[in-house]
Amino acid sequence: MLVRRQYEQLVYTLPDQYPSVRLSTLVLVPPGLDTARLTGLVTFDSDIVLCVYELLDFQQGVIEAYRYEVSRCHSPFTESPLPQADEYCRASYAGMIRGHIPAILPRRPPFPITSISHQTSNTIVFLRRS
Amino acid sequence: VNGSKLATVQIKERVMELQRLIREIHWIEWQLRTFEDKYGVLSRDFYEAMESGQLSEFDDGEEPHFHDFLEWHGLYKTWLKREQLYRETLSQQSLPEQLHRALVAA
Repeated sequence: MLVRRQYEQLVYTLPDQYPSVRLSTLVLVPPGLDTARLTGLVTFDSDIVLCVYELLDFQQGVIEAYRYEVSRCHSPFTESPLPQADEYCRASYAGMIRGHIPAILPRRPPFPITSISHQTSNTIVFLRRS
Repeated sequence: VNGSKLATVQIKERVMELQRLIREIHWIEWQLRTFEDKYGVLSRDFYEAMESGQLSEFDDGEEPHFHDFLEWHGLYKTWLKREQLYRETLSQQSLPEQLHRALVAA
């Protein structure tokens, strides 16, 4: 189980750890609490964008709610910081960009925070291969 | 003397634990109120409806309610766990004792 500090380390160094990650706007708020929200987007090669939402419970070591959407952006993200990340993800979640409707998320069980690094890694590996 | 110091440290840690817990509960409640104001339903009622499957018609991926409900449900579930932890921690001592310790720690 990752503590908050370790998870922050993971999230804020994604571009350094994974060459396929070009840019990331992921941010964990509020600071200092065991309950936190991770939001933002991660861009990969081929203009693939991953929008991320997680509600984390570091005390219990679980991701209580989560949502991920993968899409291909129409115009490449080349600026840093990324422009209008929130708006992009809202549009993505709303189906204006994404190609599928997510599963029944509120009823899905939380999973351990240790799993997210694994899951994120898998996503990154998948995107790298695609 | 060492035992006394250890006891003092433990008291301060417990006070800090409760204060931190309270800060967290307040942050969660602040988030919950936003949803309660927006949808006109108290979080407890929303959560119970969600848990009993009464809100399946809203599970359609449509925005903004889908994302709101996802977070609202998760936040309230977390609030329940923090509230329980607060009760358990507080039950280990009397309330006046906690107040005295908080005053000493301050």
